[in-house]
Amino acid sequence: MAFVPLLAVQPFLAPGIAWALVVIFSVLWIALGVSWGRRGSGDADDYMLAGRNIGLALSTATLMASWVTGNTTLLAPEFGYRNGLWGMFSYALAGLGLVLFAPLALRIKTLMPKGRTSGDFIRLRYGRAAWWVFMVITAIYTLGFLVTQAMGAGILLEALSGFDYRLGMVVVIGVSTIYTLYGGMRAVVGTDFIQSLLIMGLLVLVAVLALQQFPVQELHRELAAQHPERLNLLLPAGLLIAWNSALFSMGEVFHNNIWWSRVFSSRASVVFASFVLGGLAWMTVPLVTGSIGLVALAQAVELPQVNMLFPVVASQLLGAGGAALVFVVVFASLTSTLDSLLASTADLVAEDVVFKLLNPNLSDAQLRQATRLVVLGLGLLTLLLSWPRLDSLASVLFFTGALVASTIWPVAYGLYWPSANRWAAIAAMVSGSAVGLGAYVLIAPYCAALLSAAVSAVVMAVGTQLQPERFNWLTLKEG
Amino acid sequence: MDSFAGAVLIFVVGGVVTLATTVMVIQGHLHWRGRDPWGEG
Repeated sequence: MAFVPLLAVQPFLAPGIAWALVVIFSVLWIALGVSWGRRGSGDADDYMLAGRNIGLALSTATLMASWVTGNTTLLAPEFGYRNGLWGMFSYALAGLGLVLFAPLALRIKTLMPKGRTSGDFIRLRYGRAAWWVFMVITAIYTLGFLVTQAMGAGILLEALSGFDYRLGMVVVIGVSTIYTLYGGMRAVVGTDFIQSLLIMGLLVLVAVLALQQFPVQELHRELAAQHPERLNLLLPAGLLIAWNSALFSMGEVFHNNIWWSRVFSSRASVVFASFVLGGLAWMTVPLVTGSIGLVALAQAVELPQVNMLFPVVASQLLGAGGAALVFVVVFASLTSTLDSLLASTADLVAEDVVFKLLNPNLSDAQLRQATRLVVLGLGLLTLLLSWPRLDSLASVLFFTGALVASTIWPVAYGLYWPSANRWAAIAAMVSGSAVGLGAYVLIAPYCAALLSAAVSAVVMAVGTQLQPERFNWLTLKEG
Repeated sequence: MDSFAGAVLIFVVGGVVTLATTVMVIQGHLHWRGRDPWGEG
């Protein structure tokens, strides 16, 4: 999930320890990324898609790590704290995007054995006009995601360790860009594997310790006595947000090249299982961190700011070690998301814009070089855009829910039904985005993705019924 | 419309859209299982 919390509290970690952790993990990620990047054949497919040969464990881990952002560990406890059970469940439903993409991933892998990007699919399936609409949507979303993650890195590291905002931001962007630049997708997948193990292991440790000190029965009794509304599944605030995460996440996953590049990178035999397992594994993170929010609520923990709940509880349980642990989890979450965004967006720009649109005569070596230059350019652009600190950017990013949710039906319908009409797809994306943005402004942010997806679905289905196409699936084979 | 009725309405609409999308994807997946992926279906 691509949201960034706002923080402004005393640092939890001594600067010396924070510096040591940053140096250790920065050197580790860069060394491993560069080392893994040297393996393989060295052609464009190897750099962009890790040789299309990733197995189940690596594929599952990279999906899960890319989907865990700094916010999954810091915002999910706040959801649990504020909205109780529905807060946890609704945040966890964001994993549905990955699970539901599993059958689509299998179909993509079968239909497009040479495909490289989600843009390839839209161009071949619906034509250049639809591709332009799609590229505008994905560009706005991806830039928003990149910049909010980078800003989130600066803000989070500042809150946790007292680092200057710009220093934390530069370190996280710099480290992610360097190992992605040298190692490509192979480096991203390898580091994601270790980062996902770190994230899961450390989160489980904190949750187990929290629930040991405060057993479930006691937690339930305390919440039922002090905060019964947090256990109420008919809480209006909970009902309002219940499906927003699910539909927003479907929009994010179905359209964005982060997830399409994982499909093309993985072996055909593992692609379905890895998306199901990655989604289910991810769901445990907001459930675990959300339950920490409930523990804090039941224990009436004093919070300087509610989005610092996870560091506060971890520090209470484990002292300075707990703060260091949170720092490592957040650092791993941020780098694993940024590297995926950089690599897959560079693939999209190099393949769809530089190669297919501007210069179809590029050689394989030139395409690889172009992809590397785009990684570097994106890193620098992210740095530039994130330089002025904008704490209000998080709310702006909710806008993108309206845009990405409009792509759910055009993508899925176009993968399964040859009758899916290209003009209906364009109308679905445009009208869904417009209605979603209108709902964001006129009704409430949590309605944006929901109404966008609803309108897009109706337009896509009705438009196709009125004017069915006869698409030849073999067209996708060239991509 | 009070806040509870409004919340229920949003919840129901969201549930219907999510369910419809899920059904469409599963239907498509089952339709192509065991068939020629490049055939007319």
